[in-house]
Amino acid sequence: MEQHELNRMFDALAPTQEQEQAVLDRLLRTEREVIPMKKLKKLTVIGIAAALMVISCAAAVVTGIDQRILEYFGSGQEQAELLVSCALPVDITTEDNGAVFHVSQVLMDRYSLTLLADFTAPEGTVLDETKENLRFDMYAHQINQSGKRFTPYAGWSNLQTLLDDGDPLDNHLTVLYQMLPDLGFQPDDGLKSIELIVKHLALRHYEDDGRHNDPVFLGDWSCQIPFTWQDMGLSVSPNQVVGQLGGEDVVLTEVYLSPMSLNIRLKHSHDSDLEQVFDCDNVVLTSGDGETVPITIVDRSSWYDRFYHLNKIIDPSQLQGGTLTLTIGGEIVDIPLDGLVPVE
Amino acid sequence: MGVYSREEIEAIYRRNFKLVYQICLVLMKNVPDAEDAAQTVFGRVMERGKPFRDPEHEKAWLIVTARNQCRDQLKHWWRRCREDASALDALAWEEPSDGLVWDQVAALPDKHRLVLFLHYYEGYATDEIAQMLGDNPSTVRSRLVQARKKLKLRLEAEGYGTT
Repeated sequence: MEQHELNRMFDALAPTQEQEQAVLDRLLRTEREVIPMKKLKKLTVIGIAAALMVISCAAAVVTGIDQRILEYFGSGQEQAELLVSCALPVDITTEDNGAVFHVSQVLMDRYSLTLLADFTAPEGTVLDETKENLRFDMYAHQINQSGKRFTPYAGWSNLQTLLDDGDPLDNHLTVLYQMLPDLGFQPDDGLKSIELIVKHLALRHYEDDGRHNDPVFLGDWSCQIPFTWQDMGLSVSPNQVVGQLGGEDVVLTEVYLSPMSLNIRLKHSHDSDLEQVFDCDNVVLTSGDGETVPITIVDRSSWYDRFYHLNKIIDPSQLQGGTLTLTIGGEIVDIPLDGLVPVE
Repeated sequence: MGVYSREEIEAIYRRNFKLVYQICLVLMKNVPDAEDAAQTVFGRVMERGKPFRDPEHEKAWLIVTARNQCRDQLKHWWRRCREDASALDALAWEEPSDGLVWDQVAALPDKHRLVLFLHYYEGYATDEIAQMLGDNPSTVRSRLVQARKKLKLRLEAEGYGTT
């Protein structure tokens, strides 16, 4: 490829005159007007000023894993028992604007929180779950023992998926939400609860003048999820040199495994450069009996960690004696998983 | 409130929006987020408490601020919603193969994409990029080499230039 071909491609990334003007117009307006979500909030004030919000929470005992979560993780009832150890006892219902948001299940390991909820709008409402980009304004905060929002040093991610509930045009939605803290939930952080913010079902779309959120159903179904979790994962700290970068060692410091997840932590004096040598798409997890466990990378944003979903639920103790195979700088490195121990 | 008048802000914007937007698009890989990031960068200009020393300082500050803003945005929660994976499909490529080149550039790590853009498109020397971004010059050169190598391999794998 010639340089002019590369530059021709970069040329095509230039903004149009209309884009340039639209962004300038937004910039010079007041801040209140320029942020699309603010527009939504204004509508909300009008729309739900008289709405009644009722929150009721009740403790529950985890007796089983919802079939819909099992399907999401590609597993059946035979693996359900493995997930019970990751489940928080929740049965939380919030109601606003005539709609009910019911959190029925929460699963946690050190690097992920997965939540299943059902949203039911008043009878006769049509919520078209086939619409792409239909999503709640939904995110989570960690709450410490003082009741304040705890902001970890590293970032975190949120994923939201509407599950097929068999009737895409009724008044009901099933939502699966995941919070993925980059460095994991830390026992030392003294967490008390997870504050789940759930507001407004909206249809997100993009126009020439930017991103828009068209309200579909307004309300506030936020709630608190008590943090009663114990980390049931296994980990090993090989502290093994797995490659070189810029003349310095790349060290594998931790491998974490739960029934749902694999997290790999590498260390180098320039963590941000690890992506130059670590081929995160070429990671192979093999169990103690030689079976390959399929995995999917989820989060590439952390400089320190690489996080994977296991594509099937597995008892992490089955990985004892197995192998983690990494590709670093083009070289294949096998890490024996011999010393997996409970993290707590 | 910053030191610049509305007219001065608009002049800075007109001089630099294309550059800032392109950097944001190279890093964010989708149009709405690139626009949001570029808007925020110029919002920061409005808040500046002292004027830029000269046009070069202005340009370098905007490049670094755009990089930092995109880095921040990429760490935010909505980044992983990923509904924008095909947001560049709407771009009018001069040649159909440009879309293929973009696909392969977009697959590179963000640091590689940025040095490719600054070096080849904006014409900055690697030492200048290093000084601007606060990196070691050898790191920047290494990233450039890696980016070229990976891009070549990816394009070859896609059959680019073989017909």
